[in-house]
Amino acid sequence: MESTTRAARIDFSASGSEYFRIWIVNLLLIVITLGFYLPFAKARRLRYFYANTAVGGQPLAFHGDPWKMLRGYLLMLALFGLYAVSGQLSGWLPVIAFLALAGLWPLLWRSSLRFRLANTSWRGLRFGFEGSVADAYRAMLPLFVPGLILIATSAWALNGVAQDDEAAMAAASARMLPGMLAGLLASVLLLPLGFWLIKRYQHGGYRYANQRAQFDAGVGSFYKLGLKAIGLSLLAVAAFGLLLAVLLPAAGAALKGAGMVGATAVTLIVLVLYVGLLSLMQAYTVARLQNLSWNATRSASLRFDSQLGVRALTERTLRNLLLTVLTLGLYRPFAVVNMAALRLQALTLHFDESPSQWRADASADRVGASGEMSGDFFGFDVGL
Amino acid sequence: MARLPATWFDGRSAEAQAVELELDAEQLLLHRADALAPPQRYARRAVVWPERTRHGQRQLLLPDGSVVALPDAAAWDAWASAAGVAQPLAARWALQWRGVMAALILLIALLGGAWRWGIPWGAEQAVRWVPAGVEARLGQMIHEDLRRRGWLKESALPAATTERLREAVDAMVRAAYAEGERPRYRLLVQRGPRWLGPNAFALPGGDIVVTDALVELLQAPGEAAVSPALLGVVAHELGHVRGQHGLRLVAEAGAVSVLLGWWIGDFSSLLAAAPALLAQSAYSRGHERSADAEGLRIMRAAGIDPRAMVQFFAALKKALPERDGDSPAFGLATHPTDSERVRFFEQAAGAARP
Repeated sequence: MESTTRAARIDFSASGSEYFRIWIVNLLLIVITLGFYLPFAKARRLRYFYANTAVGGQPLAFHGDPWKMLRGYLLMLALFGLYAVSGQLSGWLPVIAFLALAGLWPLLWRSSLRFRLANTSWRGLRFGFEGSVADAYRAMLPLFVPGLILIATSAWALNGVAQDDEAAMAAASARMLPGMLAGLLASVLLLPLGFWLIKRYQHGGYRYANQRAQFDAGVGSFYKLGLKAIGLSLLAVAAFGLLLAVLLPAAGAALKGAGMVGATAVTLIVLVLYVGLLSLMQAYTVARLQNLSWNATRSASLRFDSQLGVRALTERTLRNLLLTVLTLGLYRPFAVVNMAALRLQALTLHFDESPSQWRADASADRVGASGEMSGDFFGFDVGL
Repeated sequence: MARLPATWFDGRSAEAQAVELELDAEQLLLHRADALAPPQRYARRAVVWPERTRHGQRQLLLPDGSVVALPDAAAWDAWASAAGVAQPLAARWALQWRGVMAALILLIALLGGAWRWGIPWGAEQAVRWVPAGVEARLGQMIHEDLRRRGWLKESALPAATTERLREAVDAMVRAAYAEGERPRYRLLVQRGPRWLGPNAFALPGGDIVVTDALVELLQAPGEAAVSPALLGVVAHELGHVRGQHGLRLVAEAGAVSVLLGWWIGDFSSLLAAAPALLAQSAYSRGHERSADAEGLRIMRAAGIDPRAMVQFFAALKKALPERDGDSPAFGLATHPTDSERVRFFEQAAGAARP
């Protein structure tokens, strides 16, 4: 029997204006209920987006129960509240709070992935996440190493130094310098490794029906991407510096006597340029990372192909940013929809066999809901 | 009631099955292609019904985890309304632009009201619940921190000067507040770094710090009586202590950042930082104005001429000519402009502008 590879695009049919309407009502209810409606709003948002995301003509479905999500949300509120309060106090408390949060973070991340995927279905079959707790910690470890180096170095250098003793403070700062440089260097060198471990953990843990995903990219490809990103950012910094060197003296001469207004205008222009360059670099990294990660993800009968263009992503990011600022945030729902559309439509799925033959995985287990809201709370989406 | 044809995914295999739906008073019935098999039954209350959006396929989420796909939205809508399946309020609201516009106006009104009245009131109430000991401890920790950084050192002024100041402030407080209503405070005169200059600030819990430079600026050497301008500044700080402005600003800033987080949809966004800063600065200016008002009340009760504060601003301007007290800094200023504050005290003194 012949098995042909079928290519399926992702059809994203959500409308910005329709989501705007949903978003406004959600926001109103969130404000009226002093925030308690948030998990329900999120469930409605996901249901809308999923119902508009169709693969091979069939959409996804979100099964999450908002009441269960509310539990996790309340837990996160408590944790977040404690963290914010401790941040206002001086002494050891903020450090302890930070360490506690850092300790819990991989656990919450994994729970979040498990909840989201277990409550997502396509053609009735659920997704799943199979990554282990230990691997979650291992994946996030490189991100914590630079921070730990910095903390350890400061503690060692400042040991027994009174802060009003200026000479001793200067000596301590000098002692800290190599440690700080080491920390900085470590953070730069370990960043691609950190990203690779995270993507490998994430993409390697996805499961759909009986299809277990594997992640084929080596760490070298992430370092290559890292080098390109650094090269691009050095170029951007050089360009920015050049622009400033040219712009500021000229502006200074032209706006002599304009005082505060002139200074503000120049500051605004510099800020706009800075944000523009930042968006370009961010778009580059996001697009290349999406392509790299998804092209390396495959399962027994399925592989992905991502062709997200940097230029398209940059243009859309900048346009969304401009319109969002101009409309004081009202454009945001439109921005969310058109960004999702761009990123999803860059993906193509290649099936080696017809998916209607697939069967559910018998060993699928139940997941708790507290992980889900943690992902949402800290501002990142553990989806695409 | 006629049955509705639909597609069913049973959750065990990815195969699409043709089914027919039927609804009775309490249950949803699913008739499979095999006419001999009995229909699957689901309680209506346990089924997740679709919202009537214009885009996106309608789906029924059944309690056993299976999914019914309804590609023909119009057919489903007609059948469902005939069967009496109601939409949740939120969904119905979002369907028409009229409802949405009303929601938008209501939302803007609520957020505006929250910013103007709700958050300040809420912060004031919340701060009252903080035990006095906790607030005092917080102030102590901040003070300790400032001391450890080397920013606040022992005063270099003669002890007699600081003693006279303390007594004068004590007398002022007694005159202004009835027994039992007096704010708990502690006046500290300390030597600050050059960049702090002549300054005074209030910490949570009631510690008021006055820098040596401020005393030197306002108190003529050898003068026995305590300068009224200096007392005026301390009265302003007492206003802060009374109003618990330190803690209130923390609560207000927190509430604003939460609201902005909901609006922007993301707590760590750059977009939220600017409006948060603007809002916080606005609240800070409000606190400064109310501290001025309370300071004025204290001064009047103690018989101190409000013009002393005008003298204070004049002395400040002379001592620090590079300081631009009138720059509004585009909404980021933590204090109202000097001119505004001078005007406030001049009007209080009943004096005309020179």
